Amino acid sequence: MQVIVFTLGNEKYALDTKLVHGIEKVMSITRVPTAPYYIKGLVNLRGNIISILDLKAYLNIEYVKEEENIIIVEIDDERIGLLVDNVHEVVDIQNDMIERISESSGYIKGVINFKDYIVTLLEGEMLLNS
Amino acid sequence: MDMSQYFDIFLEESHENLQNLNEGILLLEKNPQDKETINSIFRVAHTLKGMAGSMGFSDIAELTHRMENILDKFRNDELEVTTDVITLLFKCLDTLEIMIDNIQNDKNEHVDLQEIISLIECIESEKTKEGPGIKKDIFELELNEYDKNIIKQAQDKNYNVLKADITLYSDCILKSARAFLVYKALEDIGEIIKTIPTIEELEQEKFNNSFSIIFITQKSSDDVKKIIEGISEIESVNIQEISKRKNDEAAAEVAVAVRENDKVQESRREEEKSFKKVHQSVRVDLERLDKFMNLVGELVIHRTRLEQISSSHKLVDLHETLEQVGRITSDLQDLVMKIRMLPIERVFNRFPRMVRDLSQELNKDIELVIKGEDTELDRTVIDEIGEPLVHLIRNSADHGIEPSDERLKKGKPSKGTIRLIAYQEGNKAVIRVEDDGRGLDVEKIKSKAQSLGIDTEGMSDSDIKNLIFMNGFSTRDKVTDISGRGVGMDVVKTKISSLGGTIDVISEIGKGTSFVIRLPLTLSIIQALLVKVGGETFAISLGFIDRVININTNEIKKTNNREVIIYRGNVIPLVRVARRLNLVEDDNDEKFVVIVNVGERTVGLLVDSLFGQQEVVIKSMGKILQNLKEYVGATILGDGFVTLILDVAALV
Repeated sequence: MQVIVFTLGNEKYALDTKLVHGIEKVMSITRVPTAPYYIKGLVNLRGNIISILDLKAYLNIEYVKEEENIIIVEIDDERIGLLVDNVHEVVDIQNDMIERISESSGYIKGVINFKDYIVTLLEGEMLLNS
Repeated sequence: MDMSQYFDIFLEESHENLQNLNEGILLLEKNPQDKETINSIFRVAHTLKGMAGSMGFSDIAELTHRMENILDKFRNDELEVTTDVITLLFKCLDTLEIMIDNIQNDKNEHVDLQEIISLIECIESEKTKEGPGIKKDIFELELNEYDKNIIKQAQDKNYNVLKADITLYSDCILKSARAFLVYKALEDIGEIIKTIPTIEELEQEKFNNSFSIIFITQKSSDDVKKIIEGISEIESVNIQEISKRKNDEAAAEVAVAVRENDKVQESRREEEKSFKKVHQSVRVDLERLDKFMNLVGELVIHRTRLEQISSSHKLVDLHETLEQVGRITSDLQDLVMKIRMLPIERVFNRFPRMVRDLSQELNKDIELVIKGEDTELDRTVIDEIGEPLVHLIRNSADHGIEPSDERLKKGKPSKGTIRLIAYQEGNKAVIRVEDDGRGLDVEKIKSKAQSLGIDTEGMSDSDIKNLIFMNGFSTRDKVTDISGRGVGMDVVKTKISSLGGTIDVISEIGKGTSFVIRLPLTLSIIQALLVKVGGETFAISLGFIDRVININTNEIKKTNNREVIIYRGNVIPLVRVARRLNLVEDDNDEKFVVIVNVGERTVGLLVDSLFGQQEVVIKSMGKILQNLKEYVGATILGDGFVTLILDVAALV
């Protein structure tokens, strides 16, 4: 499978590229007062209004630096943007590189072992379900 | 053949036909003797049967066929139109509706027809009056428009159109095989238009000894006769020529058996002709219409953007052209809006049936009066408004209208009336549901409110009456099947505010109750006022706004622990938008109050500053945020920024 690797705080995370629709630079985001804390707001993506999910807030990850990228994903026919620190690369991985972890929190599919470093693989479909 | 492309049409037309049947049968109940009504119901049922049959839904065809049988008995005076039979027919319609819905929703559930069919059979056998000497053996032959057309064309090309009446030996064993041979022989020499009885019935041997075939051929009638006589076990062959000149009469004559029906068809044909002249229409997929709407929306956004650029660069040439573009986009907008509009009749037309059922169920005499069914509303509203109206009408029938004896005691006519009225008022559509029943009892609502812990001190009667829209509020002690579970009214209100509308209740005890629903005519493109609150920009639909005034914060008064302002001697409750949205107001003391009318209420919204008026296209905020009730949606402004549109009805 192919995954997109990005950073959140001090760690690396990955997402199946099947869900990914595009990568954008951070643009001006309209705040939505009264929205849940993990919703950063709305953006105008070429005429479409898209909700931006603050992935760090959502996954409880410590804030280190300003986000640079938005990954546009399509889940259940709905496009949303995931706010991430920055996107690194798109890589092909073998299924046996994914190590399942026991204390899974639902969003995490497993850990990819790249020998020099490890990446947490997120379960994209779970993100919108809560 | 790929049926899928006809599928949607089939579904849509079936729903229409069912609705027509419903209306027709209601009418029939009122005028049981009206043959014209029976005929028109018959025609609709026939169409439905034909369509279902050709789409392969044999269950539906079967049930409609049974209904036709009953209708046929009405027509021939073999069966009396009684409430029982009408109720049974309605039951058939309900079953048909379930079956069609199942098809639509791709459900494979099988609806069991056994029960209803046995009911029909029961009625057919029991109640059959001794008809005036009708022998079912005389075949009825109906040539439809299409057949007649073919005949005419054939005759124009000098083909012979013949009708062969064939009688088999009475001891013939394989009747259907013989019939098939005749059919085959005639098919070899020409084209068969129609067989009587139908080819299926011939195959299933559902005929006695004779049958007829109408066909087109180049051979003479004598030749044909010889060919048919060449087949064994045939007693007699009688060939009639359907002559050219007398085409219409002849066709009519052939169609005979069907009594007046032909006349009806003629008149219908004329009707259709004249109808077609005035009104030509195309069915369009709603999705395409939505796309069209979206594109026009985009156009509006970019026009606004261009206007901003042009005004900031002060280019005269561009400005002039833009004005033109502006006019065209407005026209385009109006047009697409009109295309999306449908008469509210589509919603209203199911209510006569519902009220009839309700009045039977509740054992009350209720009449439904409908006015203004041609009032047009956006398709989205039409789709959604039915459910709240059902609630309101049920409420009126159940709680409002009193039983006949009680009404007589009060000096009212024994028959209760529910009025359903629609009309346009400015850029709003108004729907009123009125009854002449007992009216709302303010005291009862008060005590109910107190038992729920609501302080009614200082509330006006009209405020108290509006409490019935609160969650869990039902003053009816007894819960009935029809309504009274206390879930109705708040659902109604929520639904209507989600459509950007308002609902109010006006009621006088003993005289009746009116529910007044106000809805925006269109939903997607609105004029909006842009305001700034706590550093953020929001849009407010102009439809709600009465006026805007500027005030200094020290003019805000407090009464009863609520903030108000006094404007021209009126006390207007104030809502601080910033606080409602958990934002921080800016420190400036000079602020603005947007005075809005929500239904019968007037409220002031406190905002920091104004930004001007603009046309905005309402877009959905997406699944994650759709539960936020403070906003009706979001929009993209000319400068490309996303702005939230406040839901005024939810804020006040």
